[in-house]
Amino acid sequence: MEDFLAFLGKGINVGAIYALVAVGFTMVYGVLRLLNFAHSEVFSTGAFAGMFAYQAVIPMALGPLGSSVALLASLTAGALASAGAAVIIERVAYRPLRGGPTLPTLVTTIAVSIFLQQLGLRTLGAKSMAYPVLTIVEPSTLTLSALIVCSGALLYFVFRTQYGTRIRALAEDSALAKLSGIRSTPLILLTFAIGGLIAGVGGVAYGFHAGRIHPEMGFSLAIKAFMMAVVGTIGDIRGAVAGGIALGLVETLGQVYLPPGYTGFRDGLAFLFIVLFLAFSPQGLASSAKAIRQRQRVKALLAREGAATGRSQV
Amino acid sequence: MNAEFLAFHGVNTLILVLVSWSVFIAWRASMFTLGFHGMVAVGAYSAALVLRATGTTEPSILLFIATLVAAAGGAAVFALMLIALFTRVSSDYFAVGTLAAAEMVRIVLSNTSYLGGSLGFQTPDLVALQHRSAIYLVLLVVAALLLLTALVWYQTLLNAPYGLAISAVNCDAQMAEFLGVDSRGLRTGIFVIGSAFAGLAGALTLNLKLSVTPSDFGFVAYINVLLVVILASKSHYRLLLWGAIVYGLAEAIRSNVFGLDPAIASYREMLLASVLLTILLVKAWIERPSVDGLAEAEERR
Repeated sequence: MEDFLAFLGKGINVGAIYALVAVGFTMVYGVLRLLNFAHSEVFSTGAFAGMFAYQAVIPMALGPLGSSVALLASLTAGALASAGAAVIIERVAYRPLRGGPTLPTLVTTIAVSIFLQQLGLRTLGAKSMAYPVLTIVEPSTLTLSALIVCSGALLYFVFRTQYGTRIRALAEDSALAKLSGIRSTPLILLTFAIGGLIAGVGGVAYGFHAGRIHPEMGFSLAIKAFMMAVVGTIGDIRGAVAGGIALGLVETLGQVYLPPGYTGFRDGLAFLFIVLFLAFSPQGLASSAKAIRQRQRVKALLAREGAATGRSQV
Repeated sequence: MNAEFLAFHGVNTLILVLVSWSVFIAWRASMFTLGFHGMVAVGAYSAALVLRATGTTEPSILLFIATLVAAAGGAAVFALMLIALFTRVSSDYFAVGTLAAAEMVRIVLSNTSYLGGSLGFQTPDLVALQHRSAIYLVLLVVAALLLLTALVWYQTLLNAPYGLAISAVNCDAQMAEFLGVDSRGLRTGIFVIGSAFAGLAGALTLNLKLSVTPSDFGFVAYINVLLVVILASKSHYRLLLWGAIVYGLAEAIRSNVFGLDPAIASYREMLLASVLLTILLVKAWIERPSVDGLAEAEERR
């Protein structure tokens, strides 16, 4: 039982990283209906920027606060670099195609992703790099805290602030939002920047968690995270978090409970989970939950109406 | 540049055309798939399975035909399975689902020791000819015949009332259904047949290279297919053929000039991604609505 709980904790931790990436995907899709494959490279940018910042700050920072300052610098640099990368990608590659057909835009995101990945391979090398060891806090605590803080702040921003309301309006009906005087371009940039910020934090957390990073790491991780955004109903922040954690649990528990010699199928298990989920719940987790709630409400309403009619007949 | 070199690149180009064509017709029927590399992998490994099961090391033209049949059948069955799984899934979600399925295939193949695992599968030469150039020439003829069959079938389909039905489904599937078009059946048929041809491309790859590994079928390795399909966009498939041929020629020239220099080869994906990006941005710029067009659209609104 203790082992199971430990694996559960590990699964939630892995899932938290997926969730941090999935949130960025889901935000961009919610506003632009765009599957941003280049988000994987935004994530990698954050991981590398965080590593370089940590390595630069740690020799300068003295005293007991040294590690805290370095960690803070790492998270800030990762988040800012990723946000910057996301904004540049939006400006250079996506904006010219905005409003056009979906297909070329989607392929553009794939092309940007591959270009950046290959650029990373050429400039940073194909070998994986060792990430600094975190001394001040456990990597798992950092990952979970990052997820709780980021998703909490994001939910507050989206549901409680004026800018968040505007973003939701844009996501709901862009034409109506524009007619109401909402300027879409700055809001889209803001959405990309927020998605980038969170992915950057996720990248740094991933680096400390995994211990090694390389330029190609983002693609497969982000593809899975992106699929989890789909599983959690794309466009829904809470769904993306739930989907990411579900995938982390499936992967970790699958690796533990798969028979020896079959552990190589771990990644396949994640993809199988995605395929089956799409097959049985094509609109995703949040939509299914919403549908169930609506059905229950209708049932309750009908039952109440039936009872009232019965009383009147009596 | 000798005959062997030309024939080898000729087969490679025709394989690219077959895969691109299968993606093109699926997209035209609004079956937006990103799992085409999975179809090619299933085709190649179905062919490999036939060779593994028979355990042959001798050339056999019958077995060569059997590999083609197995490849087409394997990919078609896989496509049917995907359609059955994703009955209620469409557009972007279908693309994601097919991508996940293709990645799953690659992982399963990497972990199946019967087919060589991640090291892949070596095959014997099934065409009994003395010179490699003659073997490539046979493969070239087979690939050309397959492509011709595919094109004749598609052209016949377009000329038949089905052609209009495909256009209608492509324009507005819901409206087409209201008008009595069986859009689901039509799409399924096109997707399955397209996948069968992608599978055949896989079998040809196996017979050309005499080996396959799961890493040959990664998504990034097939970015050239996206390049060619996007170039053709939703226009006529002739543009697709020309695009693939030009690309094949460029690849042949690249390998002739630079040989197998790993430093140059490593820039292939980066170069392809940049070309793809440039084409898309230039296309968007050319096709942007003019000021008059915008005013007209505003007036209409």
